[in-house]
Amino acid sequence: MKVNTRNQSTRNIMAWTIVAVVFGAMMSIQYHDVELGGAALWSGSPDVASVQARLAAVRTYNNQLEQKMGRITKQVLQLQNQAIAQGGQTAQIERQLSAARILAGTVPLVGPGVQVTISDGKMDQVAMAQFITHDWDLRSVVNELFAAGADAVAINQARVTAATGIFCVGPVVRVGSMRLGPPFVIRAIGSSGVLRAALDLPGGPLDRLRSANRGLSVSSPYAESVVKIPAYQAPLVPQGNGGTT
Amino acid sequence: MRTMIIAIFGLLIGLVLGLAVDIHLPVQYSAYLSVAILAAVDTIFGGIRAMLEHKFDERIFLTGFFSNTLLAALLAFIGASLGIDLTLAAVVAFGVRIFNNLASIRHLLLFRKKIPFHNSSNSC
Repeated sequence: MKVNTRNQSTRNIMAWTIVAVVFGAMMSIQYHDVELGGAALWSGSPDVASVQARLAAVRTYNNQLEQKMGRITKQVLQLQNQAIAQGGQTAQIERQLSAARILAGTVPLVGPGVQVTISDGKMDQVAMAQFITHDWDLRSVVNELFAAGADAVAINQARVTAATGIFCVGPVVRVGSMRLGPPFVIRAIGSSGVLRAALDLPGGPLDRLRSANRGLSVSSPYAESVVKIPAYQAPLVPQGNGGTT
Repeated sequence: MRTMIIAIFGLLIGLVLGLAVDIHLPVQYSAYLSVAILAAVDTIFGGIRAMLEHKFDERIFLTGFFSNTLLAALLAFIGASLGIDLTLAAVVAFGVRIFNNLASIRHLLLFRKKIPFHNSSNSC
């Protein structure tokens, strides 16, 4: 009988301890969230919660669609490669087409190339404009790369094509339709030795950026065996608001 | 009494655990957790009352704790999916029960004998 009651009390203690630990964890998690101000309570603003849920749902859906698009693009490319491999009349056309696609920047590319990073200098209230990376800085590097025979160039995640403009918008640089901030990682696919030599040219673009005494930190270009360059991620034809076709 | 002291230690451990581990629920689930906490509070007071009435059964207590919290959160979730604020119902229902249990506990502690107060027993 004594053993039995003792058993009973330990079981009670176990039950209470488990409940207390779980309850405490629940409370502190909730407290954390309420403290952060993010928690929408039952009486607070249900709208925020529903909008948040909707946003999350739309994001997931977009992600799914993007993944699907990537898969389909890959399939299309595979089929085209097959067509090229099979030879025949269409092979020549397909080859031209894939070259044009690389030029137009509609397909992601992987290959050997170079990478260089340009970061802003330390800001100063007086001469701020001197110390930030400008559109022409990036443009000169990109132009140099293309002139040296790069097949594809990207700044951060933005593919640079023939139709891509690089210009300053306030403190950020717009490349195509993307707004980019420092550090700017410029990657190029091509003959890495040639590209590196072109960038390192005395009096070349990187040399000029370094010697301008603007505090920009410009890494030396280094060759990489695998450089991944994404496809252009916006409509190639500028979309106007006027609706004229 | 010893049970209560150990339980309070457990509560502290849980609190520290929740604060130390940087878990954040997505904002949309926060309302469910608040209802679940309410259900948990209700179950805990029910358990205290049952102990004072010497009717405590740890199996009922444990299952009641978890099923109540999960059901409350589920109810709130279903309500949110249907556009009905069922959290409100849960808050009212659990609020009434919590105050009933509190009053009952108070009576039991004051008079140390069972006073018929409410028809529920373990309140789980």
